[in-house]
Amino acid sequence: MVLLKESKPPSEGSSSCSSLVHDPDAERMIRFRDGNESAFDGLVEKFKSPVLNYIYRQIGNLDEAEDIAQNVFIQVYKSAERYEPSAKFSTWLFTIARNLCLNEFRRRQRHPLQSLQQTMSDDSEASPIQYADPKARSPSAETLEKELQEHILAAIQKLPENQRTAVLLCRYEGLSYEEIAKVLGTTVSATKSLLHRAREILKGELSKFLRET
Amino acid sequence: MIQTPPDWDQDKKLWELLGKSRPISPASNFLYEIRQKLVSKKSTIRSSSLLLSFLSWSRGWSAKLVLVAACATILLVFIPRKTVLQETSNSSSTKETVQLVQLAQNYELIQDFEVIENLDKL
Repeated sequence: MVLLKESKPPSEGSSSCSSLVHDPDAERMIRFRDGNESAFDGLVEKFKSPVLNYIYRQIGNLDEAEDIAQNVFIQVYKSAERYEPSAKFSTWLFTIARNLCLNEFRRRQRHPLQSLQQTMSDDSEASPIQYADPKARSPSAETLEKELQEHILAAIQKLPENQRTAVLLCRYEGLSYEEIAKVLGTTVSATKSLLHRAREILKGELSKFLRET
Repeated sequence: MIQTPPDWDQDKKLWELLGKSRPISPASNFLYEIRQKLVSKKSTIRSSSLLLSFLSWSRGWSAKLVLVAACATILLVFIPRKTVLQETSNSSSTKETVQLVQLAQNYELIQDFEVIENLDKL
């Protein structure tokens, strides 16, 4: 059984006691490190959707998101020998995902024309986005739904990268503020501040939809 | 279902609205693609290791010269010659040496003029 030490800093208002957290994913990673290939497959099956969605909401291009998501797990594979569970496996995994997204942003800054072409090709109907909910809807409901999805994604994309990461990991992956702070390489109070600012921006961007609810 | 953090209490509507963003599904061959990439990377690393092993086998220039000459010969045989000559010479052997050097330079195979001088000895 892999138990991780999780300590909260005294400045956050709680005592500096440590609690031990059982992490089955870290255990699986250790089994993979020790030679069990099917353990790696199990981790991919469990985390492929969260990782892909995190990356897609970060960069906004489905094809690139698939490619980067695969590279995340390739990094996991290559890092297996050196793996030591100092944090939750998901924290480590999303740190890798975030770093690869940052690499992608830097690459786009160096090649803006290529990035524009890829964004335009993503808009074509040749590569439609497959959503998880396959229920049939009326055409007008479908249009409204599509508009909502696009607006939410666009609003998230308008956030600065660190705020966007904090929101994505908090809202869609359920990471604690401590875990998000580790991914961002910052403190819990800074993470709370990032989330506060992100909420203000998102409320502005999505005000039309917030009024309707 | 992810629980709303306490500091989102005043923004519950936003929390719920963000939750309406539907997730996308990975391709069905996601794991297969990863395995394929891993296999591809392993074979690339193997090829690079062989080349590096050969180059480090001899510290002297002789092994590198052989490699350069082999690459240049392959280029001469399989790729049409391009008109890149800067000088002309009556001697055919000198002409061939100059052509060889120019071709190799164009493909950035030779960096050191010492190697160029030693090509005559081939």
